[in-house]
This record gives sequence, C-alpha cells and structure tokens, in this order.
Amino acid sequence: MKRFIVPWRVCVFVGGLLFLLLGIRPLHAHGGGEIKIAKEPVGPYKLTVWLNPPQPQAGKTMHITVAVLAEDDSPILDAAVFLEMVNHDTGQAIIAKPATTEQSTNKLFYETDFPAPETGAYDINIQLTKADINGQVTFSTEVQPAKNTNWLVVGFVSIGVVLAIALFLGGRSVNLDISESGNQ
Amino acid sequence: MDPVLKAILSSWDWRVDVIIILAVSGSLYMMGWGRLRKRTASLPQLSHRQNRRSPNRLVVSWRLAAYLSGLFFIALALLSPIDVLGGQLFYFHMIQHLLLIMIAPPLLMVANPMPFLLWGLPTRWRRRLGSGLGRLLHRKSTFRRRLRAATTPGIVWMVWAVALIGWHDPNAYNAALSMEWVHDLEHLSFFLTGMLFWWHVTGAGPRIHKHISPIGRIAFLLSAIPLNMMIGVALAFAGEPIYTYYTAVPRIGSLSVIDDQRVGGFIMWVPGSMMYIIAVLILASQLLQGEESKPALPESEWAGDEALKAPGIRK
Repeated sequence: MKRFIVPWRVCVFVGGLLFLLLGIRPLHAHGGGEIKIAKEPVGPYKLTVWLNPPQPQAGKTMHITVAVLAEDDSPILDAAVFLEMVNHDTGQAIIAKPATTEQSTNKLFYETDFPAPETGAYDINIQLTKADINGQVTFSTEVQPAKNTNWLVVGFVSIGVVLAIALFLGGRSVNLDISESGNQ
Repeated sequence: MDPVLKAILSSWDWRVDVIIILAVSGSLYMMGWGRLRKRTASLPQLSHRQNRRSPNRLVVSWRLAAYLSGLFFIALALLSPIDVLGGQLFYFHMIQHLLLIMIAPPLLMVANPMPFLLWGLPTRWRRRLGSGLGRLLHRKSTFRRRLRAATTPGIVWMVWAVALIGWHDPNAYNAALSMEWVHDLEHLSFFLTGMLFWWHVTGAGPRIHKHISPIGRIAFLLSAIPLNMMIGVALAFAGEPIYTYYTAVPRIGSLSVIDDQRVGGFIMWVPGSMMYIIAVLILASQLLQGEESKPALPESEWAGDEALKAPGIRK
C-alpha cells in the first residue's frame, strides 16, 4: 500500500494564497446592503441610502451608499454629500465625513466607509448640498457588540466537511490509500 | 462625453482576489502551453486522421485563444460595469450570469485546461502533483469511482438545474443583491455547475466518465434548453416585478422595473438558449464531417441487386 501525501510546500502555497485572498479588501468601497431610505425627497431631488452591513458591529467597517436622483430619476453626479453619525442619547456627533463618487465602485453613487463606533443607538444624517439646495435625511441604526469569529468552531466545521468529502470520495481511508497495483 | 455614461464606463470593481486567480490560472496555462508546444514541435506532423491522439493535436493555438477568452469573459462578468450595474439593472445581471454559465465555462473546458495547468507548474511540483493526481484518478482508485458516481451527466444536470432554479427564487435573488458574500456564492455556484455541465459536453480531462457519443452530447445540450427557456419566458411575461429589490433602487435611463425584467427574461430565453443551440450545431457539423471522412463503400456494396432489395443488409 502506498500512501498519497500532499507535499508541505503545496499546502503552504495553497494556504498562503487562501489567506491572501480572504484577507484582501476591495480597492474601492463596494455598495450593496439594506436600503434604509428609498427615494426620499430633498428639495427637487430624491435620496436613496443603503447601509452595509444592515446591523453594524462595534469596531467593524460600516459602509454607506447614497444615490442622488433628479425628479425624472436620472442620477445627479455633481452634488456634495456629507454624513454625520450622532449618538441618539447624547446628541454628540461621533463621525462626520463626506461621501463621494471617487470613493465608490459604482460611480453613479456617493459612498464612504468607516469603523462603527461603540455599541448603542445612533442617528445617521445625510446632508445634501447642490447649488442653493440644502437638505437632510436621517435614519437610525443600532450598533451591536462585535461578534468575533470563533476560529475554533470554523476550524472544526471545516475539518468535518473535508473529512466527510474525503470519506465519500476516498472510501474508508481518509489518507486516500490505493493499492500499489494502481500505479502499474 | 455625457457624465452619466462616463460614470457608468468608469465603474469597474478591481477585485484583487479575482485578478489574482485569473492572472495565476492564465499564466500557468500559457507557460504550460508554451512548454508543451516546445516539446511537441519536434514530433512529425501527421495527417488529420493519424493525428487524433497525437500531442500535436493537443497543443494548438485555438485552445490557448479559447482559454484566454474564457478568462477574459470571467473578468468582464466580475470586474466590469456589467457587475457593478447588475445591482440597478436586472438585464445587466442576466448578461453577467450568461457570461458565467454559458460563455466562460465552454471556452475554458474546450481548452482542456488540466494538462496545460500541470505543465505550467515548476517541474518538481508538476511531477509531485501529477503523480498524486495519477494515483487519485487511477482506474482502480476509490476516489475516482466515487467522483465518477457523483458527477454522472444525470447528477450534473440536476445540480445545474437546482442552481439555476434556486438562484432565480425571489428571496435568494434579493439576498444575493443585498449581501456580497451571497452574491459571490451565487456566481461561484453558477460558474462551477457550468464547468461541470460543459465538462461532459467537451470531454475535457480528466476523462473519468464513459465516453459520450456525439449524439449523446447533443441530447445533453438540448436537455438544458427547456429549463432555461421556461425561466426566461416566466420572467419576460410576468405582469409585475418579481425581484422587489429593483423597485427601490434608482433607475438608469428610462427603462422601468418591469421593462427591465422583460429584457432580462428575453436575454435568458433567446440568447441564453442560442448558446446551447450553437454548441449543438458545432457538434452536429463535427459528426457530419466524421461521416464524410469515412471511406466510400465500393459500388458493389450498395449498387448490387441484393443491396437494392434490402439496403444495409450484408451477406
């Protein structure tokens, strides 16, 4: 019986590649998420706002996407969009920063991201300025405590899945034993 | 240039993970193709019929072109404005799925990637991996037997159908648009089931299944059309928006949500089905060419009295 062993260098290479791929963040902020405000009027314009993830966690990245539309739903690309995250109880502004089309993947939208503040209730104000039009829309969100990934559970589940596949594909032997005659 | 058009054309999602995978697999294939070409250049050139099992037939330029085109279409589907605007326009999303299920997989599989990717590796790695694969896929190995049982044409068709129907369910579709990881999972499952489907059609390596005759491959391809067509027709003729996510997002241009859905359904129905029909026509033409290249029967075989009485019956 000859045992098939995966070379350690291959394991390191594959593991390294996976680590690299999982650790990589997109170059630009990517949209998506849950719609918090849908086509709410601000003067002659309408604002749609997405929050990603829908339930932000303290310390983890929050992503906000804003679409500014004209009355006929065509996108407005030369407005100034500024957002402010205010603690719901104290009224203190925790985060204040612009959302721009330069930061976004979809250049029809204004996007920005930032780390979520500590746990609690917050109001997010989106201010729109274009020529002499000024206006604001607001939505509320609750920042949850950060849930750290339990790598031990992830590891056990992954090993379980790999073992199940190996058992199915390789028969009783997990090491994929095959007879020497197989090489002839 | 119109600023909206300019914004659309500059909406590229430079995903480093996708770029790395495409660059690594493209480089490996090109290196492997180059090495194999060098090795086979000294082999004598054989006639088309003699050449059927020759390495000369494996290392041909059209395979390289097909593989690189397959990677190009994956890049187009996942990095270009087609991906970015898929969240606003349903028909852009359908074009993206078409590229991932019906365009990229056949181009990659027809290029028979396995031997080229192996030959693209450094010699030591190639030998080790090759010998490992040789053991894993040996005729007597359990792995091969189980893999073969798990990927029969019937099972592959079922998995492909479940992925196609499942991801067009409104809840699954809306979830894919709201959560990026679900969206990636959707694309990965479409691409992988597409690769499995076209594995049987193209007969690419590793060849662990029973040889499917050209007629069998044509039947397999034709079996994909009704399901594809049904989903496309259902979307094209639906009276109201099925995917509610699009009702809340800003529109681009004057296309309403329902018209967008109709265009998307039409794309899935007509161009989507056409891809399979084109493949059927290619296989049918190969089948007919094979008939043409057979030596003609001598006149006595078909013009004799006996043959005219009962054609096809030999003494």
